[in-house]
Amino acid sequence: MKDAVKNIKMIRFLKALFATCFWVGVWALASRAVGKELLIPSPLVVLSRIGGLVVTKPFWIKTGVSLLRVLGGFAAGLIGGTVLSVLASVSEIAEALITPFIRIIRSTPVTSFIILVMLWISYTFVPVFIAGLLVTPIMYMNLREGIIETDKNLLEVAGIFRFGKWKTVKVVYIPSVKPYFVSAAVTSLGLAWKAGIASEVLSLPSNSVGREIYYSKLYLETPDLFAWTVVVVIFSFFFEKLFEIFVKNRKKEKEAVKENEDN
Amino acid sequence: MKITDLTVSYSGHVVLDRLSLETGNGITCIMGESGYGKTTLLHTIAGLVKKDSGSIEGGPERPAVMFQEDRLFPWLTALENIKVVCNDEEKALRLLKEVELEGHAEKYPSELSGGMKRRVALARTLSFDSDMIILDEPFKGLDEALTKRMAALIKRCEVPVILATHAESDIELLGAKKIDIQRLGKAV
Repeated sequence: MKDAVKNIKMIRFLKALFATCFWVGVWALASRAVGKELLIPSPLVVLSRIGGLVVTKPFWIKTGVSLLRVLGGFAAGLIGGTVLSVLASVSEIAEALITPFIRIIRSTPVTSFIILVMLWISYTFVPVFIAGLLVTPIMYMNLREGIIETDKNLLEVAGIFRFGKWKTVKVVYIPSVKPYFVSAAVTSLGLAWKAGIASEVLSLPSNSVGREIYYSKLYLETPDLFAWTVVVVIFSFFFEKLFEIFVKNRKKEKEAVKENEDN
Repeated sequence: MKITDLTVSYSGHVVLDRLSLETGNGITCIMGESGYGKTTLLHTIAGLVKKDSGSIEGGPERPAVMFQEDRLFPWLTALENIKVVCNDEEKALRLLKEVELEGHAEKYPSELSGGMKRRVALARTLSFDSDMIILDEPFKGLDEALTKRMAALIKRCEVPVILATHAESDIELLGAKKIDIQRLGKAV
């Protein structure tokens, strides 16, 4: 059994390795065919540029500050989405007011918000605001669903055994909503990162990955542009992996609950 | 407890129609085939379902209910499922021992069999400090020997017990007063 699992993992790894080699090969061929580093730098040049970047202090400062900004916005979005979903669940008036606001945020292009927000607040905080704005509706929608989907039978049990408000929240609502919360949080983390970097490219705050991407493009430092983009992709990949791990655990949890119901 | 002319309906469909009955201070078994409103009657007594008309005199103020489904919290262990109701670990452990599950205290509902879950639900109900115990098919999924031992446990209750079942043998086991819901009022 263990050997079979090991084999499957090895096959998956080899497949991923093959796909990576294939696309890097395509990139190398395209670079050679075009023959201009300015348009498509070769993978080796980009790799050496990344190698040059990661050993410098400014690289880590810029990446760290960008990450901090995005995480700040992400945390604000988590709190905002949670508070709004709870308000909408306890008050119909609040729900009537919040739902259209959330729909507007969801359907408005992020770039419109970035440009608008640049008129309102310091450029340093634009990525924070945008990340928060992107995370809030995702958290709101998921948590609302989680609260609505809370098992009515278990709520009836809580009522019969006189749990009281806070105990019902702690024993019934929080464990029921937790998977929705984690799923929304992991999904929105990757999105917040990408939107945060996009807003940095437009608002150009100091010490930011977005600013580096913008100036690389402005001064036609295409290898740098590629290198910074690869850095962004690596972080996105990391967040996606985090999501995959969560989905696997969630699947296991669901199977356990289903088994429980079947019994 | 005296129930008079009790009528209960769900979205226009009458489930109990002018039902009258009287229970004693001991154990009362509500008998009847499926679909005759045993569960609806128990839920109405517990205050979970609103009645259309009729009266319930001497009904419970603080009932402990064992539902037809186990309704255990899947994220809590067997012990925690009981402790969360009685807020007393010692009492919860004692009851878990009485339902013969002391070796399964740390298991989650998904790790228990149907009969085990039923016994955890019974222990949870008995752990609650109540003025009436309401049990809906408490022996579902239990073998004969376990049913006997669980019936002995229920017989030790100091508050009135109302129990729904469709097994005649349960009445003898519990030494209970029998009320056949099919012969009363116009239960549908």
